[in-house]
Amino acid sequence: MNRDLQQRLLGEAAVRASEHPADLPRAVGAGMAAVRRKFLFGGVIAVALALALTAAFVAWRLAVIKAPPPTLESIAVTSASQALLPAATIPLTATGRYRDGSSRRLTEGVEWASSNTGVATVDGSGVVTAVAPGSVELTATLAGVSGRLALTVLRGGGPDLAGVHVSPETATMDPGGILQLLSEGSYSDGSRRNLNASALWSSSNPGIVAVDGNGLATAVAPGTATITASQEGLQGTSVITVPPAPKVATALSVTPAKLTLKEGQTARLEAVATYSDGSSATVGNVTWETTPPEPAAADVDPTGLVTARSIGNTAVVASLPGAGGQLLTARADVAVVPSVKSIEVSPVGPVQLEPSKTVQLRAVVFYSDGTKGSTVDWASSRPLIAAVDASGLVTAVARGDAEITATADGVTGNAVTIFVRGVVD
Amino acid sequence: MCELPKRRFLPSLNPLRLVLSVLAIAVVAAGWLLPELISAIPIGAGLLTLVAAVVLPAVKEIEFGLSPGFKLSPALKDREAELRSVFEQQKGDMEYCAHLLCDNPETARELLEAAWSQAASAWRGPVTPQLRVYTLCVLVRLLRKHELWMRRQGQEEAPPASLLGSLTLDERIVVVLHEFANLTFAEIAGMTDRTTPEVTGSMSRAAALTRGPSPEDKPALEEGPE
Repeated sequence: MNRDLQQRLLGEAAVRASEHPADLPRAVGAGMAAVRRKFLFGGVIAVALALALTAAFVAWRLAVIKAPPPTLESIAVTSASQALLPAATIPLTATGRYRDGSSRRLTEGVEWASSNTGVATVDGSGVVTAVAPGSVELTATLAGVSGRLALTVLRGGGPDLAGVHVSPETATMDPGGILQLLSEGSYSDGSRRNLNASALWSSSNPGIVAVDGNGLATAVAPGTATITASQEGLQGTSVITVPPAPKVATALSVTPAKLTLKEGQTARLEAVATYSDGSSATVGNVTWETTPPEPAAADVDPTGLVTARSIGNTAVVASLPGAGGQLLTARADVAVVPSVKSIEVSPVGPVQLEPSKTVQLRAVVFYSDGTKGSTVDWASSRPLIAAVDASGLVTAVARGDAEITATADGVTGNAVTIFVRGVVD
Repeated sequence: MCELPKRRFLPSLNPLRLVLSVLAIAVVAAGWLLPELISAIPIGAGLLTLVAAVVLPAVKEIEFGLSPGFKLSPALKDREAELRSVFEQQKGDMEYCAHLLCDNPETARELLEAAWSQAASAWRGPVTPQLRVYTLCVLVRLLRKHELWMRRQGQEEAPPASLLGSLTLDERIVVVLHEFANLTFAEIAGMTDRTTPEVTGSMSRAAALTRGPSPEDKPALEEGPE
């Protein structure tokens, strides 16, 4: 482009630029405002992302890392019998007790060992085989924790076992109670021998009554179970009944819990017991007493009847023996307030009024503690002749006679006679 | 295509940020070992530290070219002052280009202001001479969008107000950027998403159209394609 044309075009552009100058500060300011918005938006997104990542990390961590299993504290080894005849086999049971209080049967990973394989051997699954007479200790080991069971292998031979008898044949046990059963064998030579150690003990329902290898029965829950002692194909049984646990009172309350009486008044309190099974009922065999005992504002008799004696406050306490010898108590607060002795109404009357005329009556209430009051209920014997409002204002309505009375707490004051007469009467 | 400077990550990796990153990751790892929901406290604290003390300052530096430090407002003010100073130096040149590219003076002014605003918002890293080229690129892009929008709106073009007005927009852009903004044909091609032969072709056509009588009887646009 030749220089003249270039200069001419530049000149035209310069004129237009001077007539329409661009606002540089505003343009740059708008750009920086956009930067500020982007940065703040990015910051918010980043913080939200960090929080979301935290939540995801924690959730992942909780899902991935399981709580470590509880530590095994001890192992209990049990068997259905603790005395065996040679060649007899019997499975052993290993039960692990954990630090968190739980316990469960151990089936895998348990190492079984016999202290004397000449007396009895035990295989990897815990089955014992009696070999020769003697005593042996069998050990179950898991994770460095061991449990032991002593076992006796009896001498074989001798008279034949003719029968097995378990005593007592029937028994009743409270839940949680234990009972040692006795298994006796009668032999062909007429002798009797204790079979507790050699017999195989079993329970028809271990959830109700459990029995160990020595005949010790433990009542677990209400119900009936049959305990069987077996040896050489012969059996003896004992039927054990566990009755339901009697319900015991766990809490006591008194109704009403607050009582207000006037001097001389009586009221009956009720004691309500809450039982271990969740039920509740009114009980009569509670002991009632006031506290402090003497002098008390009110008396209470053995049936819970409270009599207000003098003005004041007292507490009535009910006591009932609860579970485990614990004494359950509950109380009711009794307040004795003054009673009305008499009421005096003035003017005493008789009062004569013309219809639609009024007269104001006043009542003074005398209480038993010597104080006075004025709170009464007003009543007219014939409201169609003379009406009375709550303040004692009597309004004559129609010709006739009426009596106005004031009553408080059952005490009525002197009646005021109102004669309603016409002007000419 | 308007090119911004590449992101430079290495300068933002200073020792303080590295130490803070390691510490924050260590806290997150420690939280991983704690039981139950207590682990949320160190994990959250570690991640928030990583974001607030490492990621955001680094982004501030890399993406927006703001000065290091935790305070945003002073950094933004410094950046604004720096950009304004550079644009101020280029203002006359840019205004000429804008009015040479667009016949409507109000539109030219508005497009130039928009180009400055967008360049200030998008430019990352330190200010270099490339900012002028980038701003011109944004201006050309906005101008083309404006023309496209005008055509879609069905608004008829006004009769040419200048000699450059008789050129097509592409030809006009090439002439103005080459003759007045002193950009090479290669730079113009890169800026307008065209090939260099297309740009030189536009320049040749523009030279033919704007050739007029001159005192020396020379063509008005005497320079040939590069």
